[in-house]
Amino acid sequence: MFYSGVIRDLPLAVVDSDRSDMSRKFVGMLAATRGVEPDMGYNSIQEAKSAVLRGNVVGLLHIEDGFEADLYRGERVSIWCYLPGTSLSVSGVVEREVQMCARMLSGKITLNRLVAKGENMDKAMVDVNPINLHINTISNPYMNYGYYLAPIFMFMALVIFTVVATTYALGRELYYATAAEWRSVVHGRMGAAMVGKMLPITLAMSLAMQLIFFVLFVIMGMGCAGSYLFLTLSSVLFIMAYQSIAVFIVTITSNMRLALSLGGGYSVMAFTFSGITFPIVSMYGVAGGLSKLFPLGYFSHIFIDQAMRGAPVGYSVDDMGALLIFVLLLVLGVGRLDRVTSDKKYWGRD
Amino acid sequence: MGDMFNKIIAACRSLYRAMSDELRLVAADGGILLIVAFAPIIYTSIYSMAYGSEVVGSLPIAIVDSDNTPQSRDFIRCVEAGNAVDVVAEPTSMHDAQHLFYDDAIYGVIYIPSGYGDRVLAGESADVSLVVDGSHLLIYKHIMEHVVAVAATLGVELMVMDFVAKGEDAAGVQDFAMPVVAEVENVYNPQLGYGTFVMPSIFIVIIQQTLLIGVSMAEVRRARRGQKGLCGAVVTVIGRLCAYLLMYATTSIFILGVIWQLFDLPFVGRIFDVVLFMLLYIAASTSLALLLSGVFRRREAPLMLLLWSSVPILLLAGVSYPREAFPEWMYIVGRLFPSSSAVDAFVGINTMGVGLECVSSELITLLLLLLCYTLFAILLEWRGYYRK
Repeated sequence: MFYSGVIRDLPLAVVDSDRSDMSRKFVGMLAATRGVEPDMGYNSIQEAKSAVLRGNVVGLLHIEDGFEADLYRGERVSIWCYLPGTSLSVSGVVEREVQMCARMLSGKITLNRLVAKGENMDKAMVDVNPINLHINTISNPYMNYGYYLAPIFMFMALVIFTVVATTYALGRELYYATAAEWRSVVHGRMGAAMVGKMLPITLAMSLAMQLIFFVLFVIMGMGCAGSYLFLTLSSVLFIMAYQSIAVFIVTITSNMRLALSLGGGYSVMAFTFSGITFPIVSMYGVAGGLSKLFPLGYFSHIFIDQAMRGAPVGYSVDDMGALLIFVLLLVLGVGRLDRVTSDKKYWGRD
Repeated sequence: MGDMFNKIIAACRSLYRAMSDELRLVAADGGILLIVAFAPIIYTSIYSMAYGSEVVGSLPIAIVDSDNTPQSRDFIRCVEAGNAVDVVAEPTSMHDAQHLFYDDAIYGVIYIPSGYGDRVLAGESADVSLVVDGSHLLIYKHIMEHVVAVAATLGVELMVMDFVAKGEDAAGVQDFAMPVVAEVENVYNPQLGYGTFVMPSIFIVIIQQTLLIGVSMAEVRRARRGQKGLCGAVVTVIGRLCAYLLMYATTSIFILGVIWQLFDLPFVGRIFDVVLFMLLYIAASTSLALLLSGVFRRREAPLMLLLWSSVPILLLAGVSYPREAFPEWMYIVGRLFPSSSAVDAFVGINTMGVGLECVSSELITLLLLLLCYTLFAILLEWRGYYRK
């Protein structure tokens, strides 16, 4: 889905009421952009508006009659662009391209006027653009949507699978009343029984994570700017963090199906609170605080620092520590876990 | 004639029985009730809360001013004006700024090199650098747009000064420097709020996903098998469909009536259109759920096997990533899920307030899905596929 990674050629209805050289020049500039493809097949604003409402085009751009004439008179002219605003990515791309074309056309016109006034070309160039702003985008230099969205969607799927698999693996021992049998294999030792149950899932999910890294770094060409080793270690902790949360939920509820519902609900929620789509800094206090309760947030932090920014490992240690705290959650519930797996009254609950 | 009438009455009775059986089944099972009745409300509330602030607001950045002249201070003053960014630090070197960046104390750095002021005074082109974090799209866009606007505004100010210095009239310089202005208006979401953008889609996807899981769980639980024969199958399937229609209509009224108002989410649609659309969408989602529910043999299986699908389904609806940008075949596959057409239709009807005729193709798709899925569900019920 993110193969191309960039949003290109969004159809934008253009109603050119001026039909002058100047308006055609603007439309030509728009056609040359990556993000927008002008669609000239509309004769009236009404027609174009109805195409927007039907979703055939992403928006409507109108160049009023008198555009060129007003420019020649030295007046300021406006180009009107109406977007529904119901898709942030679409609005972002169209707005950026339209603004850029307007600035470019403005620059060209001003340059010509200055030269006409007798200024030499070099001086006129400076006057048009006295402050030369260099924009250096770090972490994701080409603003690839795939690099931004694909990791979080894949981590999300992994979180759901980890929580569901762990909950089921442990919960079924209670549900099908096989906990005694399970523990008897390791002579009743809780620790050994848990390691035996959790480790295969940890390994399988860690392998899946390596596959995700391979897809992102190699197939999608994202590359890993920082420490791959640290990232891998964190990813194992990240998986263990979700496993321990799943175990915790099973322990408290001692009911597999309820644990599946709660764990499932909890893991789906992580997407929002990871702060990837909408920044945590912009959330209201309570919601921002809630984000601390989801390991995905800490892990995506580490991922951005290590894979995208290439930050020194030291900056990710605190996030790794947070993941570790989730893993230690397991210790908290160990007494009750021992009880629910040995006392028959907790079994077979539905 | 009387015979016919009696038959209709009898059919209605068995339909009602099938419906109330299903409602009783759901009400008696805490697990299913949690998913079909409470999950949609809990989810929409929590998501609305997270996106409640709608806009990105003021973001921390740093400025490295190696020039330290009135001109560079002027630039900083312009950056600080308004509340798009908050200059939280003025480190002495880019190296120090990098530490702040890795610490997440800032999301961007403006670097003003020494000699900036001299070049400005000499009427030469002066360089300024902006280093901005591209790992977060909204943050990137927010900072970049602000700094680009500041540079453009200052450029015009400099031109005014240049005109005045030459003794020319500076009155029309603004128009002279920026003769073409693009006025971009986001009609139905003027602030480009995140909640306004994403909540309608999330609401739609939650309805379908909880239905898929809940109906399948109920199917495994269904003790009383449906009535025999083709007519019995029709009555059973339609009856169950009506039960979920009733439950989800109630939930939707609460979500759109209370949560939507509480978080000030967009609702400009005509009530009649919204109701008609919601009924069609809930029915289409239920029919898909009824069809799929026959697959599961264990009660815990639906949740385990269907939960993850929320991730690709949200993507296929073209919410985070516009549908124009992904392959055509994926778009077509996505249309097999009622949620994909419904997101488009709901945004149209409810956020933009368009008439039903504008979303007719989406509504027709939903109707076709409803008919196909219901037909298959009836066939499977009739053939005894659901009888274990």
